[in-house]
Amino acid sequence: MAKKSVFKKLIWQKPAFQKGRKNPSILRITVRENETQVDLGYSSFTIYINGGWIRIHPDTYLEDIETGIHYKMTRADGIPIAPTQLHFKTKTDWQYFSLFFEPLPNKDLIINFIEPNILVPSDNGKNFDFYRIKLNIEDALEEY
Amino acid sequence: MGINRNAYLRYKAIDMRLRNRYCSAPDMEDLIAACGLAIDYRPSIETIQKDIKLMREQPPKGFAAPIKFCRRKLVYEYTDPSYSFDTIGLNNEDIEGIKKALEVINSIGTSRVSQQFSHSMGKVLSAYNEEFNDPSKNRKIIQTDQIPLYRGMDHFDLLFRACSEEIPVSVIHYSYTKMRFNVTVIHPRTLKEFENRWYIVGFSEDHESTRIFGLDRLYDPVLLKKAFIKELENEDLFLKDVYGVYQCENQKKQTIRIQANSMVTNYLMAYPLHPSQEVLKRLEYGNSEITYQLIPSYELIRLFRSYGKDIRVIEPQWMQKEINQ
Repeated sequence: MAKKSVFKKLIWQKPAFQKGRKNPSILRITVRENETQVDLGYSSFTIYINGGWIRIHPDTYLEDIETGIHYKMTRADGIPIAPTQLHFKTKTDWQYFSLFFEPLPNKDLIINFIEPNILVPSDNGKNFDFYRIKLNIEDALEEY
Repeated sequence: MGINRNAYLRYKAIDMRLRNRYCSAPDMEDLIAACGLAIDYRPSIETIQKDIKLMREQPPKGFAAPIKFCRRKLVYEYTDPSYSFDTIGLNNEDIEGIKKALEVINSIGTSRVSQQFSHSMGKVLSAYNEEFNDPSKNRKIIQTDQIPLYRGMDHFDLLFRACSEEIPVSVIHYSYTKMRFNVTVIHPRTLKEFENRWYIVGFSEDHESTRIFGLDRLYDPVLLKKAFIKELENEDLFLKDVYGVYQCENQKKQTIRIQANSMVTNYLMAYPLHPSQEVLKRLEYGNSEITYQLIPSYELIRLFRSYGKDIRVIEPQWMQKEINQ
């Protein structure tokens, strides 16, 4: 009888990616059986008044480059979903936040993290995109 | 003494009767008789019914006693035969000792340690209030620092478990000085409190050495299935040989010699800063020279500065300069 494979809860710390922003930084990606969690850290920019603001587009998704399958964002913790914004109070504020997506498969993957373009024209180019994030199983830690 | 022991004795009597395997399961009359023997008068049916109701209640109000009433046989029984309301016998001295300890814990506030501890102590304190409450003594005898809940304390239980079971933890850390996030794996050994702030000490994979992290700067710790790394030889640097938390860079354990005026000398002799404190000599007007064997820390320098002219650092020279700046 074939052995039923056990889904491993895998964690990648500071996963390598080919192209993307330094701020926010992708700190950790956790792949669980029921969801995928992406943890990010953001430090407010000094160029903006009082550090500016952040929000996440509701249609943000992860994309498996090999299959083209999109994994939708299901919820966000620590960051409001656009059009609501989190306004910083100073240029030295920071925000840790987690985004939750439909579960990725338990295998080696290269994914894109895509926040779709613009709710309003001024948002253009400010979206949080990361391309070709490498999630090799052998680089992963296993959750207890 | 305003201690209402009757309820406590009744609960114990009911518990003992329910656990007595040499008698058949008790009905209401049996429980009344058992309680009557314990308190020297016959309680009413209503009293016993109330007692059973309270014993069944979930903590902190009750004791989660799994008491079931069998409608067919009209008897009471425990659904969990291993349950016991009170497995420890306490004499009056024990009770007085516990009462004093509970007053201290009650004053400190359990929330500053952990949710789990708070919940556990909530059970004990509610039992304490139920059994030993004396309305004439509602005045608080002990006052301690009241620390509001602060960021990171919700990780306490997980980190405590990680330390005790030696489980590595993936943590996200925000550095106030570098103003940036980092993620690392800590192999945590000890939770340390200093000036009402909590820290975790352990080997950090990212730094490849033992480090200390403030709980307020940690986000989302996750336990990992991973071999645990111990770096025992460096733990003393963080736990024994330092006053405070953050050591001055590139400094080893060394002799720190200060001169203190008579007022500060009195304070330091009453409340030594560190076990290594030694009063080398007392001078004519009560001034003194005091030494410490410590790794210099920012908290130590801050403390010396806070005394102003009342303390003068004699050695090391660099610290003398730093404080006089």
